[in-house]
Amino acid sequence: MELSRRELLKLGATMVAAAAVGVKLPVSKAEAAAAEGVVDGWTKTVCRFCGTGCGVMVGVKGGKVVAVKGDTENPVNRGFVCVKGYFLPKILYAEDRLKYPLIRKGDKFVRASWDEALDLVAGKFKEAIEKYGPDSVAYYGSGQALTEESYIANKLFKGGIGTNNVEGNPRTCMASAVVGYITTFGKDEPMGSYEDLDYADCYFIIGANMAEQHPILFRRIAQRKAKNPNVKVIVADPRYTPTNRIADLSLRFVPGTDLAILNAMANVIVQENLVNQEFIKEYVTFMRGEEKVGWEEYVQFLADYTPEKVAEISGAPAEQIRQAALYFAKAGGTVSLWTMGLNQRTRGVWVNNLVHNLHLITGQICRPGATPFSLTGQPNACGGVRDTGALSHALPAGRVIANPQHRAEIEAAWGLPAGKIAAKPGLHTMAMFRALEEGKIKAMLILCTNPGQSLPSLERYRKAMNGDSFVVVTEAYHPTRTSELADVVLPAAMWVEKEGVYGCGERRYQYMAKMVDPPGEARPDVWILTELARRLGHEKLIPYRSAQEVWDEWRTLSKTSVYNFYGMPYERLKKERGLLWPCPTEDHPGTKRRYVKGEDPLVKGDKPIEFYGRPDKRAVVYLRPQMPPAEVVDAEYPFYLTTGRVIEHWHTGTMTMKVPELRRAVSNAFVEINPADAKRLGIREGDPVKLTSRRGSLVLEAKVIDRPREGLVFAPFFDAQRLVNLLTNDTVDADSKEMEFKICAVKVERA
Amino acid sequence: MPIAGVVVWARADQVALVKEKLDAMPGVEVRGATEDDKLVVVLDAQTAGDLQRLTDLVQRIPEVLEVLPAYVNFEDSA
Repeated sequence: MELSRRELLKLGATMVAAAAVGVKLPVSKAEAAAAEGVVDGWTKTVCRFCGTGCGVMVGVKGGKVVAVKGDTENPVNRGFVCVKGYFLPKILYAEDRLKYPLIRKGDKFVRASWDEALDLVAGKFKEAIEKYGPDSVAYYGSGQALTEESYIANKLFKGGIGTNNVEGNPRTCMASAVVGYITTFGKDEPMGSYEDLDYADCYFIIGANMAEQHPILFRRIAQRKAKNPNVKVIVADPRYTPTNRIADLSLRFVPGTDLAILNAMANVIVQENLVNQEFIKEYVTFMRGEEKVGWEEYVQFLADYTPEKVAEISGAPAEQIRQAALYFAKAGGTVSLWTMGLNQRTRGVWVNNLVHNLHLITGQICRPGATPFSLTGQPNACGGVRDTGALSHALPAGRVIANPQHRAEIEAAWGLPAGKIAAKPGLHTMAMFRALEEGKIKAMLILCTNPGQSLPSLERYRKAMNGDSFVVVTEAYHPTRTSELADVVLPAAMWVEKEGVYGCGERRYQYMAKMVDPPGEARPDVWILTELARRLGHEKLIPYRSAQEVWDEWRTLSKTSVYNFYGMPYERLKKERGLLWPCPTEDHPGTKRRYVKGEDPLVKGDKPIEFYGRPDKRAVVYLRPQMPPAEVVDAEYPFYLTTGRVIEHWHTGTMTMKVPELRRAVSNAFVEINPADAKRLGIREGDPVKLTSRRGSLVLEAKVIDRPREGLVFAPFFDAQRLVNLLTNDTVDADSKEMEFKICAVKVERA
Repeated sequence: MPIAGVVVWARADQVALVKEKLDAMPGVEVRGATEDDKLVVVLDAQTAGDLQRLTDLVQRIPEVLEVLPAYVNFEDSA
């Protein structure tokens, strides 16, 4: 039977959905082949949005992306995508894709040739370096850039120009998780994998709205719970979110009291004799700051954190705290999951440590279904920025600037003279933008990110970007709230318009193929950075003719580190649905669980578990007391404001707000306010509400809803016209230098 | 004219009811089912906006736990 084209499309759609759930259809081979053939070809890649790393198949027809389907062979998402993935083809064809280089002339941007634009950029950088030294220039990159791009930028600035002023937006999202892992386990990145979600009996989700921000992983949990009634889900968050839909226990606590809650849970575990003493004896050490202490001191420290006392400050009932601790400790396997709710805090590192504590005192770690798992928000924050060390304090593969041995290793690997890499760490993100404000940074390259919308305390930093210093932005779209402030905007290829590697939240590196040409004269950032390097006289250091050459150098460099992924050449990654490092050789299957003997090739000792990141091979349980956030509510600013996202939009909306369907679904930022607070303030649904913090004010439409607890309001930050970050606090965590986006004090009134 | 293939995850005891409701919706075709609680569904819409609205309508059926997108083709509308 001859099927119409429309029927063929429908058959294709049916086949993909059926395959995702293992349903066999009565479809003939000829029909199946015809349905497959509605596009010129399907090629596998990774979704462009969040840090989950879903595999997608992209259908191209006539040089254009026309279809997307979930990759049924990819273990991350097994054939599904979320609502954002649904609209992936549309982000490429937005009207405001930038097609040509632009140079600012007065108030206007004028089209320029690549030579003209790059010569101008290189000239300004050279001038600054000659007059004011290498530390007068800076790079601000992105967890959305390809690994190859972040690697080149890091090498060019640290190894070529000679400044460690290399930062990126991962500082704003998971720097605290990084330092949390490093302080507790000695090495960054989660030790578990998504597979652990399929084995756990208890999920402790704290400071994460997985239902909206990691929907594919959330579904895995929801499906496991639906099939296994004994599975428990604990959701701890100052705001009820769609994630609470599957919660057995919802702790809606006062913002900033999470340290106390986690210590109280530990206290219950100790009091109820649910501690795994054998595990502690073999694998754990206790510390108060830098000082080693004993078990007795830990127990004594916890004594202050009774559920009853903590209930008073946190607003979470004592019985709930107790129950959460019992679920956590008694489960066959517990996975903790968190994101920005814990990380974007002035005590973000400490609160990360306290989650790890719970796993370490119960032994809920390093076996299937038991692991502390920090989720990431960007598709290549882990692989691209964390792992390549493209941050001001870091060097590739877990090395740090402060360590002379590490600097020497990288100098040797990059063929640099000894002492070329500056011994002093560069400026962290907030310090970098403050230096721009003070005129100390004379030239800055911003690549694939939108700090003009995403930094906290925005007014002052927007002014800084718009000031006398030279700012160049590479972007796929124009204008954004950052490119509008730039002196030069360079048109960047995006997603399947270029090739490279993305590394998602579970240490899985996946290859992304180029499938279509970028619009106009837009070019891949690898090309842009290489051309800039050449014009700055660093062509010997940055000699690459392809992304693959960069990858091969980085892969080789990883060989001598615990990140070893030498066994992942492009040829292999093109075939595999990604691989998890460590993966030292081409016949190695990758590592699902680090630190576990028999799974992790880097475990050398005889014990079943080895925390080899630390000198004594033991993980640390830290005694970390409750500390208040940088801003506490008072008579003048009596509400807490917390910020976040909605499922339809990703980050600052530069991509998703270009999709008319997503824009129509949620078109503007709003403020959620608890009905009891709204009644007291005379605010009704849809009313304009003025929010004022110590840094700015903003009017948003009221959404009166029992989601935020009383005393808390919530607003999303995707809306470029209503900049919620005008209000947020730029105070940073002492250890991770991450900003406290999640908590600031505001006044709330009907406008 | 976009077409999507989705899996509709229904409450296990309400699969028949969900199928009945989906059958009554224009632009929605149930084309298969798992043995337990999931339906293989094709959504056929005039515009991408209609596709989004249709997905929302299915999601709002009280007995539907989740709509899981698996495939979308925009060739006539992108």
